[in-house]
Amino acid sequence: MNLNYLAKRIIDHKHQLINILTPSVCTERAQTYTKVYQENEHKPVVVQRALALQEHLRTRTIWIKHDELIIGNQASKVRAAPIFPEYTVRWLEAEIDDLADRPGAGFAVSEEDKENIHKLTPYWRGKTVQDRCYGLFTDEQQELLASTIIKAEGNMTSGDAHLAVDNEKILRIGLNGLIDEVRGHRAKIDLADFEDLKREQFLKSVEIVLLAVQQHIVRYAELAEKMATQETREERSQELQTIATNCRLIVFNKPESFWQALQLCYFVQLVLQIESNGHSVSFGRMDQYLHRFYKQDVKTDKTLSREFALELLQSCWLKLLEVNKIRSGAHSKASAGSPLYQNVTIGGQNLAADGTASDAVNSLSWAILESCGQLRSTQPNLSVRYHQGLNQEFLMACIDVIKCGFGMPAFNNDQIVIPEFIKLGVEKHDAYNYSAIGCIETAVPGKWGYRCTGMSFINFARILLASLDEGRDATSGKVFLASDKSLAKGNFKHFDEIMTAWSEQIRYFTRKSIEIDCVVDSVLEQQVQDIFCSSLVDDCLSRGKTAKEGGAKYDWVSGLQVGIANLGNSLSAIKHLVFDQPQITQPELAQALASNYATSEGELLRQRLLNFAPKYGNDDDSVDQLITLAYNAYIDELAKFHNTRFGRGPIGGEYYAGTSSISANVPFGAATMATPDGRKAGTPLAEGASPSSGSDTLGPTAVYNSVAKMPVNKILGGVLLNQKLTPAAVESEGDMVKLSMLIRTFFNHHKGWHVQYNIVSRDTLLAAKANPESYRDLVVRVAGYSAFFTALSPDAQDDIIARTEHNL
Amino acid sequence: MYFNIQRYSTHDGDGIRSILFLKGCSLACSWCQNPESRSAKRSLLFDQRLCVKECNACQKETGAITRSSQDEIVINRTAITEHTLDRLETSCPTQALTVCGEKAYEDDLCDALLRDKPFYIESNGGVTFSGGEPLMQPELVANVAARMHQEGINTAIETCMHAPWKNIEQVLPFVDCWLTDLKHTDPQKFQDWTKGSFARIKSNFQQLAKHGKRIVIRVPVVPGFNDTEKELYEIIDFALSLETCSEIHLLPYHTLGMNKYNLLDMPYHCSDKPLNNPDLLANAQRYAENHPLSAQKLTVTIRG
Ligand code: SF4
Repeated sequence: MNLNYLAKRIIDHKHQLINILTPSVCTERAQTYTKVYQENEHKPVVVQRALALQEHLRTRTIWIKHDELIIGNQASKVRAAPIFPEYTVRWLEAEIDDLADRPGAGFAVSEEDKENIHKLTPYWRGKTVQDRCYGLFTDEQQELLASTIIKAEGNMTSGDAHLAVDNEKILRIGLNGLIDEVRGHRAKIDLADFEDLKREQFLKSVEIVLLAVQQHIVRYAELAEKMATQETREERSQELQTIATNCRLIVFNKPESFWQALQLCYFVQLVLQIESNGHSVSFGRMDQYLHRFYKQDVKTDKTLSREFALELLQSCWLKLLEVNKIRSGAHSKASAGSPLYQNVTIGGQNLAADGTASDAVNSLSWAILESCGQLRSTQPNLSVRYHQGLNQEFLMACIDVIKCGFGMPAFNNDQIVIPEFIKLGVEKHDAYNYSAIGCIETAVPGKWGYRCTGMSFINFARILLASLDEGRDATSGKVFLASDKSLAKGNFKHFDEIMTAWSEQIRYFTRKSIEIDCVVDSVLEQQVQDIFCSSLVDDCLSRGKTAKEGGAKYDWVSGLQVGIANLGNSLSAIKHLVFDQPQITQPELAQALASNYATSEGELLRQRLLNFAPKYGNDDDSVDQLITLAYNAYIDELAKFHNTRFGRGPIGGEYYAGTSSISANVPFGAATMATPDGRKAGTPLAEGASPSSGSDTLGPTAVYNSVAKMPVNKILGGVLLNQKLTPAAVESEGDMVKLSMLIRTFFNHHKGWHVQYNIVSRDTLLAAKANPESYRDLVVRVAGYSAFFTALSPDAQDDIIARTEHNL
Repeated sequence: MYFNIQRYSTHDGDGIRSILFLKGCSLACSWCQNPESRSAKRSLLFDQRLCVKECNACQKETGAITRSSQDEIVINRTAITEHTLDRLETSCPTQALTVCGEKAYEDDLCDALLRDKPFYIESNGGVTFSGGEPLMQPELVANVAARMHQEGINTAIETCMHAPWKNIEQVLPFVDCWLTDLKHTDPQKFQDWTKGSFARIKSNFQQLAKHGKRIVIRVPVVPGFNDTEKELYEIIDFALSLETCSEIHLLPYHTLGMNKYNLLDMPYHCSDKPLNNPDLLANAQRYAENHPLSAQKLTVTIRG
């Protein structure tokens, strides 16, 4: 591997992209969708959507720029964010005029764009997903959402996504093959049958869309041909010609070369993100399904040099970086750095027909790893599937890439994911084919419905505060579920009563979050069918159903919990300092919390809470068990519920827990008052399943031991562990070997779910915060994903700086 | 008595290790960066920067601590008794005042050390005894090390070798790797800078070498003490005279622990600048590699 090389065109392209500080918005999609919806109001929504996508693909601006090798643009301008009015126009109308000034997530909106947007939004009022959700919510649900203890904004202002479609299949049968399959199903439709009538609307829509996608690729072929004739540089002209030829072939047929295969995958990826603004659209196991093409071209026929193959991959990665999404101001904070979480998974194991598993690392796994290490971008989000037999050389190469400091690759562990999936009911060969989705969550590509994580977020820390004060939310003062116990009254008789209060509150909020999911899911199902996406998820076509209607073979989802470590550390402080070896009274603690530890007395009490009670992340059973106990109340409650697809086709249809909190720990912390772990009001909560910043003082082995005590096998939405290392910790070969052993032990012995490393020195981060212009290319791990550091808001930057740095 | 267990230690022996730091030392090296380890009893450390003006928690525990008119804490260390230390252990909310050193119970130590067993096994790592001077507590070391052996975990010891031979003998069967300090070969200079006897160390080395255990010699290279070619060459000559020593580590002097002298109200007599003489270390490395006796392949590692 040579991690210090990048082809000139790639350097230039990357440079162009990372220096777009306030991208524009693109109104083309919004305008076309509005027009087509209006013209077709009498048709079923699914057909309206097919026609809208068809028209948009037919008319939208397309371009080929930056001497790119993989083509396809999401918006009319580079990195512009398209508008998806059918999901929401509410925040758009309110915020569109001030979008340029948002910290860390600004957009440049021209007067013309504003006018276009203001012209079309009135049509959508009352028709959007968000508005219809509010039409269904009870008063209580609305109040809960307004309080932000439960957050579901991301779910009702965008599509679902969070899945990988069946790229392997489209490469195998080509677009014509897929269209034939649709036609085959349509031929069997009986229009005298009520259910079939519904199915027909979906299948007809799929056919419209697939034909539209073909036409779209033809447009790119024509553009490339035209540009080839005008191009003065001979070499580029030939490239454009090849691009055109490739497009002409994959319009109908299955690809024959690596370049064609990659281009087809990118077109699929692109249209998925034009059809819907859901994010975490992932590629699945790209090193597996593209390997036969790579091997044939690079190894066997030698028609493609390895260097050029890497350039193709990097060209594709930069195209992923061009895809953009605009979120409301509030929602942007939870997704710091406006990431799209487009995951590529490599490594893992393959299952042979005789049932034996073998290491799946191949020559393309190496090429993908190297291409990402050279590029050091935020996209794709690269995950490596670890297993005991993972080639040590490959693991060391991963550490080499980690050393580059952009937070990738992250690791998922086959040894927990596969057996737990099988226990759930996933078929063995499917379980072995799982991939990471988005950040750290996992699902079976092309067979699993949306949002294996990514449902509602719940703020654990605020719910704990409510448990300590008669059910009163400390931030809003509202009581959702009243109780008669409070610290202020000092009427908790013993610590168990605190746990009981927590359990009552968390069960209530869990139920409410599912109720909210239920509303959102039902509206998404009826209003914003993903047609193209469903056509590439088994068994949507044969069932004649979208994924949201229960078309997917598997369908488990999970919500996200924020503030897990704060919950545990707070309980630990209360147990030790208020009950077991009492040195603080209940009212004293209540008073200190209410005053946000004001006065020197409050500060000294806070210091006691910080220093005299065990903290999660230090391998201390007393606190680690409290976390598990508290978390189990949530897991137990959650297991009682189903999602809206239960019993409608998929295996599963249930919920499990997940901790991939993205960067929501920052805005959630901002809305959380002081907590008994000594955390002050408004400061970030702990992220994922990681310890609170600065509270893990015994190094990584202790952290791993603590994390492993969590009920990992029940948190199948992912157990996110983010560790920050100093560059010195991986300086020598010996250090790197020891890090590899650390990873191996965590996965082989502790059955850890996931780990990722951020290797950037504190000094570099501070310098980058002070002089952003010199650090535009600095990529850091935020949560389950990486972002450009200078693109983060100042508070998200501070949170990253504050995370514990382990000097191994 | 011990004062710390450092986990995921990757620079003191093979693989991933935990280091048990025992309290009490038989030398008093002026460059020592762990001064809190010197006393065999508990030590009281005070960090003015963390102390909160409005607090008087420690003063309530003992009259030996007072607040001066400039709001500074003054500790009358001679008046601090063991009983006072007991009380101070849990009195300071900000950890400005900390008591260093805990009674060592073998079972508890073993439990704590075994928590990282899977990491040792995966990486061929293990447990290292350090200090202070671990050989001042031979029974504890022997018993804990024996337990580690029963668990299939390898053991190492970091020692200055300044201990009675019988102490070494006691731990010998249970210690796989000897990380031994060799600071100087001139008895007088050794005595001046460490307050110890080189003759005793020399004889211990010679006896230890006969037992066939792996010996790694570690040389702190300290400005003004042994940072000349002549002195380092003599140390290398000595190492070559030991049949089971095939590794030398040259450890350039650093000052990372200097502030701890302040916290302990102890004077610091060594240089306040780290050693910066890469040529010297490279020359010593070359000297060892080209030495006529180097048929027994002495490797020299330089570590920052
Ligand atoms: S207890 Fe600690 S913080 Fe308080 S006065 Fe003493 S040293 Fe300072």
